[in-house]
Amino acid sequence: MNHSPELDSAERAELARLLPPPGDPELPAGRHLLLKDAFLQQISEPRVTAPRRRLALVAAPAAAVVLFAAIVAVTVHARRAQSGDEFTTSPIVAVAAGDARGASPLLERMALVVGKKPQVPVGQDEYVYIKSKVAWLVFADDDDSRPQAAGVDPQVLDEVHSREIWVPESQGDEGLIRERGETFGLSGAFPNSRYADLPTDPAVLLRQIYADTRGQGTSADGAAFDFIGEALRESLLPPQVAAALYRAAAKIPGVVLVTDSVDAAGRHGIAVARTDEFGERREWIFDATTFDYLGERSYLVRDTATGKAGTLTATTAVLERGVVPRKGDRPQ
Amino acid sequence: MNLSQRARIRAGDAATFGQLFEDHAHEVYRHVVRSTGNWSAAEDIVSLTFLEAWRLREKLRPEGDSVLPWLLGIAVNVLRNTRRAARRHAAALIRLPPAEAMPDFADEIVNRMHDSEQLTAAAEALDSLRPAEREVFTLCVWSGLDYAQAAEALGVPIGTVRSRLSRARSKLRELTAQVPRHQEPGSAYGQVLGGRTDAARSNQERNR
Repeated sequence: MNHSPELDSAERAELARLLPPPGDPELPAGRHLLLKDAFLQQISEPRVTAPRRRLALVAAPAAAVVLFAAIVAVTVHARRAQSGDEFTTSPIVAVAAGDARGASPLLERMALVVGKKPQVPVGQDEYVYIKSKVAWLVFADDDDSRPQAAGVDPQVLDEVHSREIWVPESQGDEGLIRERGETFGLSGAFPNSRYADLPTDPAVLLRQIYADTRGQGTSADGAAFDFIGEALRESLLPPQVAAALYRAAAKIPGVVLVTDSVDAAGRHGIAVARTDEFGERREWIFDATTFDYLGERSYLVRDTATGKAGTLTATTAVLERGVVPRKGDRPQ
Repeated sequence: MNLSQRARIRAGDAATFGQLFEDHAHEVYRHVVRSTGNWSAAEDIVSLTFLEAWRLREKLRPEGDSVLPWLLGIAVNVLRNTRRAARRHAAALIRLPPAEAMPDFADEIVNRMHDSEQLTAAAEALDSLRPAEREVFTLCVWSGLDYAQAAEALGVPIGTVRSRLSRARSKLRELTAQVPRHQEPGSAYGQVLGGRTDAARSNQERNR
């Protein structure tokens, strides 16, 4: 049999019996279709870019930057004239179209990458330290020196400033916040374990998030998205939890990919975003190659009572994350 | 007809590649899962295999029968160096629809776990072979290629395929002789290849 010119079925069966049966793994029909579509889309894309087209691609963002700078300059000037230097402006950012189909593949990639990172242990009585640059909307002025539309809270974006926070790992311990040279106790805040102990199964996690945020915000999907945003913001998560959060986010309706965003430190990245009912889009920004969390950005995607389309409503950048034994300490 | 299919592949006809995917993706997938014992990475490797087939289309021999050996040969190469292939097609991979996080039905989970155990056992046994022997074994025994097709897939002479398979057989025989009670009698060894049916699961997935 060893010398037969062809491999006959009896010989093949005899060889097969030398190993445990390998099962009959089957690519599910739905996946087959998706992968086929993606493959065909990939190979049918034009491979050669005409020089003229390439030029146009470069020129368009450049034009946008010039326009952006002009708008910022004008608004800064206008705001300063009104309220002095205490507040900067609410800059206008370019509103890019969100890619609804791109978010889910990106989040899956991110989950695969983060899932392989080493876990940083946090002791029960330790603190998670996060240093960031932040600016959120604040009330512009308390005095009534300026005429205001009734019922409208005049809010502008605070100036970008440094923030340090010590989040207790365990429930019941008090944390600490240091912002603008002032230090506040952080009592009754959510401990890091609230997020670090989340389930690592994305389906279970998503069900829990929807259950825990029921009744919050103006939509169930928006509340779930914001919960995950909070979990990512000022925390130190086990990689498996972070991966599950990414995969859970991928299943929330309305989540899109924004190919270019910029954090409060000026770092560019890709963003996962969702726009709420009031036209405010919240972006979680990640480094485009390492998928490290960079920060957040929020802005209006259309003209609303709060402001014009593109009005920046929040910008943050996480600069450092670590674990310290006592609040007030900084990582070595 | 086969000749013209090869000609159309070499010419880069997208519709032909669509048909190629339709006809052979499941065989590539099965080969990859069985060779690696890994479900989760298999979809990416299938995608990479077809992207590589597209890139290498002009290298396909103009004459020949089924192109499946050629595709499986590319899959073997992707498996040998997944990282390099992934780098080459990084932009395409990132836009792929993600693998499903979790099956939806409980019995599906059970089926998968059962499959996984089998796969793991088979993959562990395969590990006792050298990579070259492993490739010949999986292609010839599990994916049903004959000597000539395996030779085409791997780009080696037919005699090499035959001798590698012969060595694989000797090693595996030796191993099964050493650990005869590695599994419960009749549970795995001796079972007909592909004898287990999972029609229920397959139908369910097709109906989605």
